[in-house]
Amino acid sequence: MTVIETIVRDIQSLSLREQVQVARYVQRLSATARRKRGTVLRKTHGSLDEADGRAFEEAVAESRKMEAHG
Amino acid sequence: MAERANGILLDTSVVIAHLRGSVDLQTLASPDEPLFLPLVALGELYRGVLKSARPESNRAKVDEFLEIAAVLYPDLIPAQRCDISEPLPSVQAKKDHAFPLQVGNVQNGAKFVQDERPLYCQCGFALCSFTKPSCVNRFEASPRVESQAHGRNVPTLSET
Repeated sequence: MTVIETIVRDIQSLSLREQVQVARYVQRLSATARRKRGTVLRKTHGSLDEADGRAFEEAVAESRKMEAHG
Repeated sequence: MAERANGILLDTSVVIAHLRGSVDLQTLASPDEPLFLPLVALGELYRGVLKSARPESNRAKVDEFLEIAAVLYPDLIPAQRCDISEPLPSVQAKKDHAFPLQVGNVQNGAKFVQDERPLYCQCGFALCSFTKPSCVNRFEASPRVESQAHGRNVPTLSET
């Protein structure tokens, strides 16, 4: 079993709260992850135009509409 | 000032607002704060992709976003209830863990709650979402969070 496989196996036995703590710890350790995150957030920020933005919001509104049947 | 000790659970509307440029997640979350996206929210984003004029291009944007946000799957939801007895994020949970909030810009009929003093669910996630004005009023009227909520300790919430 590789190191990563061992880590994944052990993490799977943790509660979600503990998994989040692990994620936060790994995030702190990983400079690559921080750089990547910054890059992706900068790139995606404002990347949707007005029409597509409206389409997304309409899709969410439709998804959350409650329909009574029967 | 509240301390956010865990991650941020992103609502679909916040991701869309980020993509539209009205909210900047880079300023909203500190760099070492993990971002989480419920699977349901991912489905809503993909629905938006399909409804948009340029689905391929927009799918790429959503997929790129997924490289930095961990998707929470439904089978983890029971785990979210690790030390609570109510489903999350219920209005009651938000209400009980709400700090006094500042209401920010109004867009498309929804008000954005500034995340400077965020809402928390009982597992310590900051709930980062647009809310309907009626909800905002309810949150604004909420008392400050107590160290004990529903008789259970919420260790991730603290005042400094």
